[in-house]
Amino acid sequence: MEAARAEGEVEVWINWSEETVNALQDKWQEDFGWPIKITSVPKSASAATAEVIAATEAGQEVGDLGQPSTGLLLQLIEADAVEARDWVGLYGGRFPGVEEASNVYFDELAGYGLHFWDVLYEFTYNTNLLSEAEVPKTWEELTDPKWKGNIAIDARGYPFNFMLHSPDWDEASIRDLVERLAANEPVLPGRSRGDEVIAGEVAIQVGGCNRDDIARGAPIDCIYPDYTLFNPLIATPFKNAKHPNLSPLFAAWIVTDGFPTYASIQFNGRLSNPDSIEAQELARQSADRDITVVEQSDFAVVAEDEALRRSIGEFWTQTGGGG
Amino acid sequence: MATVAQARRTRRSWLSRIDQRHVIVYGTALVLAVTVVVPLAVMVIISLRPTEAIPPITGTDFTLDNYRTTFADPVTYRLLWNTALYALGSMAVGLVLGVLMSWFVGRTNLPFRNGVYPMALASFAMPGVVTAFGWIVLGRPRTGILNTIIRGMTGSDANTGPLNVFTLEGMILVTGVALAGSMFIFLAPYFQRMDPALEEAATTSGAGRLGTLRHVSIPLLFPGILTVAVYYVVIMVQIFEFPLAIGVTAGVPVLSVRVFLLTQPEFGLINYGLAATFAMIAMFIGLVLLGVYLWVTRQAERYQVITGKGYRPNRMDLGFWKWPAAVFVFGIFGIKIILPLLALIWASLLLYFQPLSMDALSLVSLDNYRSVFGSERIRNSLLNTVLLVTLAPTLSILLAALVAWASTRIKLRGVRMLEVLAFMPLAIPGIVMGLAMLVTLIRTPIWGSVWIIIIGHTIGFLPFGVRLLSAAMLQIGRELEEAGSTSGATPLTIFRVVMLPLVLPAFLNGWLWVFAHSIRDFTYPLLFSTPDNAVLATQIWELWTTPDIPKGSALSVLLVVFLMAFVFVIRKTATRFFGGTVT
Repeated sequence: MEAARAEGEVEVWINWSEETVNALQDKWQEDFGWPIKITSVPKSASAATAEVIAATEAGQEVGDLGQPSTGLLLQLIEADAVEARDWVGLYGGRFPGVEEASNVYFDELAGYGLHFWDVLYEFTYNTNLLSEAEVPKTWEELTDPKWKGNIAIDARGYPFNFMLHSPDWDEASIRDLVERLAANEPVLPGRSRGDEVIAGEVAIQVGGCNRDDIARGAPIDCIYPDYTLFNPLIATPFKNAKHPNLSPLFAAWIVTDGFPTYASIQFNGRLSNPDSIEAQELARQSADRDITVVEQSDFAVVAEDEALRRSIGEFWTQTGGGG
Repeated sequence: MATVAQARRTRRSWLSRIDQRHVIVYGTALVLAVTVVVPLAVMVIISLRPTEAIPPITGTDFTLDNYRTTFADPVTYRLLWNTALYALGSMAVGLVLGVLMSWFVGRTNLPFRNGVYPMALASFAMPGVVTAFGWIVLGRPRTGILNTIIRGMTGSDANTGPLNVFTLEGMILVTGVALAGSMFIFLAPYFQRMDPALEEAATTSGAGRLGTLRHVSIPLLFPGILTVAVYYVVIMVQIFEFPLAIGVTAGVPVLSVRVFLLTQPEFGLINYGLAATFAMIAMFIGLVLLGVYLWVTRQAERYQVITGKGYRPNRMDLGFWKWPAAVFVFGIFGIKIILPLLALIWASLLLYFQPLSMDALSLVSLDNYRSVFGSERIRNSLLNTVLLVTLAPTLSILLAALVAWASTRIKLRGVRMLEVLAFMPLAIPGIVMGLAMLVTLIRTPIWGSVWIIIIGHTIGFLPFGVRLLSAAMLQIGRELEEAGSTSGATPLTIFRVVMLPLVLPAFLNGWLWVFAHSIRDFTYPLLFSTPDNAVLATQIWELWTTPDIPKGSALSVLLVVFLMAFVFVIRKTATRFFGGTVT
């Protein structure tokens, strides 16, 4: 603890708003009685993973904490860029919630990080352009030519790779869906955040729902499609972290005592928590129609889904977009 | 005691035997070899090593796998095709506009023509990425501000277009218009200093205006225009900012962007081997095009009709058409500077981006500017920027002065090599030079610090300084140096006390040029980007791609306002102290 206190700062390679950073710093001061400085470096999990692996191999320091998906965490482990810890033994006494958070779905990933929050891929739509009734509710409906040029899809290949975790989909059917969507000439931003849909450049964006934007008054809302794809993010301290003592302590804190503060501003939660906004919204929408949440259960599929994501990302690069 | 004194004398005598000229020439050559040749050699080696995240440069296993992979991939040919179309298309648009502007300013009675030069310089204040961002806000198919206005004015029922910046044509037009101002600066002297006697002779011989234009003016101007055209093709193959900002979303990747994206992948691991291979292709194309440029320049000089004499060309009276011509010429600057800047100002005033509408006015506030000023990361990036734009110009121009001095004043074996080394960054695209430095320094403490950007800019901008200072030094007679030498001054003292003060205006000119290019460059900062070495350019890119377009726009606007103020102050200062020598 003293070593962590002496370090006094933590650099997260996650995109957090200033409001989030300030609120977390205040909450930390309240919880620990000493201050920390949090620096948020807005990197996507995929870019952060590539950079951490290259920098670690070159013997360079990197940021303190990331939030990789299971597939990206597997890459970090294979590259020896992260270390396993006994989270419960180290921090379970102070933060009882660590025990639950240390369940990161697969034994092979255990110890490398803590379950942070869940991305549920939704169809975000512009409320000035569409009513909820008009929004497609299935992936198949999204391939309707009437949406030509009116959809934005993450050029990095997300989230189609997560369909592999559903018994109803295989690589061939996923690729077929992607190709039919490509015929609709989607806009291909290199991220899932919904700038295009907020501006009204497209009516629908496939990605995580940005509820912080909704809270700011942006004209968007989200619906869960028939197969709602699920991506648990893992708070992971890096092996070559700049602040090796504070980073695991911070990870343990942010997924437990610090989490309510984080969730209240970023509007991100865990599906396992029935009070989370995701769980409540899912319950509301499930009342009228069938929604299957595609969770991850087979570790062998994790590596496959990450490989498929890269392949779909390459496909989007070669296809180009409709702007 | 006697022994100490004797030792000192011996050392002094040993030192005095060293010819300072050797130290200057070979010392500078060593610096250039380490910063230019070694990185390029490392890059060549890495392109020949097996593909790994960071290939070691030691080892004996070499392979052509990266080249096989590259040339077996159809995407490579698409990249080359896109690059060729983009380079030629942008150059053509810029050239047509630049020639027309130069003709109107140099050969007609265009109103307010004295204001065109300052506008061309002011357009320098808009970095390429910022111009591209402005045009994205203006020309997005559905919500672009211009599209909204045009559809509103024409009563169109369509919900997209008529403009679409996210196409190859859109990217070419935006880049071409952005180039017009700088091409005008290159082209205008050909029109203004052309000997009018040849045209007068044609007119006297009964040729009409069109005949004179076709048979005299155009053939006279053609070699000069061709030189500028080829020079800009070289530049356009290297250019990085517009294709990165627009081309990636448009699905029109080009070679320079491919190199960058292989070092910052979103769907895979960093592949330095493949990046180095694409960089080698870019370097090869750059060198071939430079060879073409040098050949064309030599040919053009054979037909040179522009001299140092201050000819006063006959100006054509455009009559009523001078007003539409003025609208055209100043309209180009409006499209280059005013429209994108206004678009970014609009975007910077919104909490989240919305198209131009009365409803959106309710969202207008200065919150993004407050947030930008309040952000610690942006404040830190400002400190890094200050360090960068102070040290890079100083080091670059000092090194350039040494190279220029050695090449114009010192007769020693190897001096020519010094010039060749100094001019290498001119032929090698910035993204290639940057990648070479990155793979060389990634295992050193310099990686990740602002110093890697400082080194990149020092070397990358060296050729301009050398050319400028060589020209200035050639104009200075040798008498003062000879007097200094006769008085017992060492070569370094002569350089410091005699030469530097004499070339001070050129020195300051070069410093300011590197300063302005350093602050607006995105290539090196993005390629070397880590959280610790962020500069303003990195922050703008980061905010834009996060995406936080409103804050990214606010920071872009602040940078442009600063650069415009800088250009204005420099012009005023130059006029006052150097009679306009420094621009």
